[in-house]
Amino acid sequence: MEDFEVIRRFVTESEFSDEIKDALMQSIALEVQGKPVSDYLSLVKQMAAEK
Amino acid sequence: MKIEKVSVRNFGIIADIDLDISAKEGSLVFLNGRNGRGKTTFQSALRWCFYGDEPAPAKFLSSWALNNAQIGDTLTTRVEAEIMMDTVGTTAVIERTQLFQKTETTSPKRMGQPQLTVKIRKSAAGSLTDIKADPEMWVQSFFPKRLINFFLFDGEMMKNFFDLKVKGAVENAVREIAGVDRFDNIAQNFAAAETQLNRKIAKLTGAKAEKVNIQLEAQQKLLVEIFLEWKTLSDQLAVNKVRSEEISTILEGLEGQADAAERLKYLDAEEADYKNKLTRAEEEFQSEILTNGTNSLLVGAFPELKNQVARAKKEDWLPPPFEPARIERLIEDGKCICGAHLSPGDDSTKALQTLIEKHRVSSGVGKVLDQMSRQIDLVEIALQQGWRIIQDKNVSIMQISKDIARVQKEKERLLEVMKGSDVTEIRLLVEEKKNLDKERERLVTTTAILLGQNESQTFKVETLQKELAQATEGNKEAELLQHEAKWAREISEAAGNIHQSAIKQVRQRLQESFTEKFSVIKKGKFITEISNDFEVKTLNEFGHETELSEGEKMMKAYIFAIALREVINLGFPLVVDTPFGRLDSPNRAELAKMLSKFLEDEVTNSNRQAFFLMQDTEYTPYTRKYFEKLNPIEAYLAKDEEFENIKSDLGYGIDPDWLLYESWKDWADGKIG
Repeated sequence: MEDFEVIRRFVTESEFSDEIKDALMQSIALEVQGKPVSDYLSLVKQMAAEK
Repeated sequence: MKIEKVSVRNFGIIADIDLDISAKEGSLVFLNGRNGRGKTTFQSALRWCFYGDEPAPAKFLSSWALNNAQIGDTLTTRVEAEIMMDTVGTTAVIERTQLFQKTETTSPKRMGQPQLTVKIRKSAAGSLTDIKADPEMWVQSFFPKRLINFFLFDGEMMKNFFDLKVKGAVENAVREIAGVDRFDNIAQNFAAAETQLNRKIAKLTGAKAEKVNIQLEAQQKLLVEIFLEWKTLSDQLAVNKVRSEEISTILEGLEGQADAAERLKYLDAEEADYKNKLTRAEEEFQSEILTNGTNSLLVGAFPELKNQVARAKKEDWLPPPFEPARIERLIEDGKCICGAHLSPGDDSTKALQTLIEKHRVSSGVGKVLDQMSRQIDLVEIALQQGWRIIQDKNVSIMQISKDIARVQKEKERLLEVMKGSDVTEIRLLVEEKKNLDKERERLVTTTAILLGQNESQTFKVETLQKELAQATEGNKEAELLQHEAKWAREISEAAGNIHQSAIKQVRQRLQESFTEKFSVIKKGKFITEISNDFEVKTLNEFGHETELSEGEKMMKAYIFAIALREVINLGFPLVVDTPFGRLDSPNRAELAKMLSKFLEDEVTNSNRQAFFLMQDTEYTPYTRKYFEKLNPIEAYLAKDEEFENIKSDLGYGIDPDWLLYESWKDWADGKIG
């Protein structure tokens, strides 16, 4: 989707750490698919476990 | 994205046309036509097809179709647009229809709701597939309603584009297309994840932590509420500011007419007051004249009457000025009104009896003359008073008439100042601006208070978060959850920051693109500044705001429309009704020159299409020559000879009827190169 690409660009061009950028990229996918909060919680657990 | 075909059936003045430019090269389309031939109807048909915006009932179902139908016949209004969606050949066919039935009345009966169908073809060789699930949603995703003003333009409004529309509309456009609101949703979802984690932590670490967490959640909720209220009021403030500036611009353009309109309002009231006074004075004047006139008629007979009275006095046949009955009562009582005693036979009694006798013997004429003599005196006094009143009223009427003339003269002067303007509208604008200014003061104060509350609330929340972290120290499971919660908070804050900065970034890119394009067009160093609230200023190399001609102002709107498409990947065509507005010949030439140069770079080298709907006063052979090298696709809407006022037909090239007159004739004869 066009707007998906546009908002991804906002993330890649931001000055956040790579971990945060990665988390934001994955959360964009969750948002675009309309996923529930539990999926965001799983993403947080995964990110926390990796770091 | 390019419009390739448009079919319109039974829509307003367009009864039946099929525009097909799919086989033609180029991205610049000119659809020309004289006034009343259906250019605006064509744009209105697209508006209905894409957005479902219906025209006024009288401009919906074609009167030509209605006239040719029998009572009970079903008629269909239909607009179909075929669009090349991308460079790989994806095509969409969007069709909207509405059924009507001819009735015995002049108005047709609408049958059911409008129907929208969307069909997609993935490649030129593929077949069309129905988007059955939700065609409205599909159309909305590619042609969002909030962006209607960046798709279907009205050229008449373009020179005022930056004064009236752009500030709020651009931010909406950026949010919509760039999808920046998605970051807000992401931030909220991570905040919700953090809340869930905090609850788990609190449960694991006992009553104190649970108590802190309950407080934390309550304070976080309050913080969100304060923020939302502040956001709502800030939005209101922005809208208020835009509208207030819009009104100021309009009123400034009217050069003191707002003051004149205000003064006129008071003069109207003053005139009405004077007219009421005049009516009352004239009524009183008439009434006095009538009374005095009657009295004056009587006065005409006074000399003779006075002679008669004088003669009667001289000859002593007027009755004494006493009532006989009252004198008789004095004699009976034996006492005079002067206090003297009256006895039968004394002199006083005899004198009174003489008066009674005199009254008895006085002639009827004498009595009448006596009464008349007294009434004459009264009438003469009344007449004198009446004339004085009449004189006063007359002076008053003259003065009021002078006042009315003075007020009317001033009104005439003011109306001359306001010639061509709608006085009522100006008054309403002045009133609206007063109310907006008052409301803005309130909003500014309230938002400042909320901002302060927001800061202190943020501090409370941060303190509670620290307290919760301290309460969980030593509990391994809780510490792990704390680590997760910290991540959730960080991502949520990052998403929130990107949400805030995304609009800023788009504004920055837009500013750069605009500056570059405008400098090329104007051949000089120009800087465009786009403020936080999307006010667009053009500055020269010394940083001063530049005065732009009408043509340049319109050009600025075109550049902005295209730059926006470029920056936020807005693909749909630019469809402009009367693209040169009402520019005079020099300004039109200047705009045509700039526009052709601009379109050469922007339209021919991209997949974006510009669609201009022009009338004969703006599309002349001289305008045409600027666009010649862009090889524009020319089509025209012309009158149908048979049904000239209710049906338009479509043709390609220049309308042959245009070639019979003035400059187009010279062009056809080869006199204009």
